[in-house]
Amino acid sequence: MPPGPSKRLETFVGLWIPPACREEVLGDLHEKYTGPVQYIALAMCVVPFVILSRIRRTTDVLVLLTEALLIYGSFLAATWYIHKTSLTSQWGLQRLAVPTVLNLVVLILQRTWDFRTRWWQTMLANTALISIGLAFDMLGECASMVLVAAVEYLFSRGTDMPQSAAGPALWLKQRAGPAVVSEIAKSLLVAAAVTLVTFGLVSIGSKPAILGAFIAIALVFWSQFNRSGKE
Amino acid sequence: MAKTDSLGQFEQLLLTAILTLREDAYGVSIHAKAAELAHPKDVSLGAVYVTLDRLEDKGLVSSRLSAPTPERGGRAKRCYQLEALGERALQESAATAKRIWDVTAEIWGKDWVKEWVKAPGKRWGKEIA
Repeated sequence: MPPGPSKRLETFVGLWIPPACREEVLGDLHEKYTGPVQYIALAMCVVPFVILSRIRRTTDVLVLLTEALLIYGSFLAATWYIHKTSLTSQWGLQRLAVPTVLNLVVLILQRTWDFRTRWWQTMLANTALISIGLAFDMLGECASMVLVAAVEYLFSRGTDMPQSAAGPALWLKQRAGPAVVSEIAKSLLVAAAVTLVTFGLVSIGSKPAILGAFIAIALVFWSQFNRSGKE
Repeated sequence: MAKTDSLGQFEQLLLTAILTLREDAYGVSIHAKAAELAHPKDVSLGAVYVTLDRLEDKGLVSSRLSAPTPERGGRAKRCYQLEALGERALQESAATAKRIWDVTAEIWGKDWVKEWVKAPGKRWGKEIA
């Protein structure tokens, strides 16, 4: 049996590699293994490239730009509705770019690591989004979630993704299908319900803590819903 | 006939490596062959993955997962093969390289490559800055 890295080390490195290419990259790293230090050094050189390549493959620049505008617009509209005066203060408009960028980062990572495959990853990503909402503006976050889900539903990654030559590559053909759309449709439905209730709570003057608790409960139900659908 | 995208030098190297390796073209073997072809320049494994992904997106190569092997810790290989579009793009690049070779050989003589391989960076006694 040829020498190889320990299971623990391999698992740790594997966590950083997007699942779509984890199998072959870990295999290649295993084959080039001569010692733990060399393995870690090689992984540190290889993994960033693999992540960037995966981000490039899973991110459609036009869709991302549309989402950025919608997220920024949602936060802008929500701030206009609740704290109109903060928009005219110093850095009022620039401040809204922070949750927009954070939302985009979560979305990019969600697509790169394909978080929909495991319920706890979905929950982690949604918790991150809700945390951003709690930190900045829950109403804007909910509205942006609905709009982003709608964009994903309408422009889902499938066989129509433009390429420079010869039609869809194998990985795109494999990704297309009703499973992705139904997940997004479910998310859209839940996000729309959450937004409606949040609007209702805001309009009757509920405190942020009540809103946060409601969102947390909705999140737990959502993750359980996803989990039961897969088992 | 549809016009193919022009290839970068590294893309040409990888396509040549895949052409040479045939059935055994996967990450590690492609990296080793590309390093041999690019000598004395270094080739990073990460750059190989990025370029293979790009070539696949362009439709120049296709890939499939092979059966797991024990020397890889029971993990599968992603094997690559040239597509018709890739072969044509490589042929175009090779034809261009041949024309460049003809012109340089006419001016510098046919032995300049041998000298260059012995001492890269030196050319007819002149140091390249």
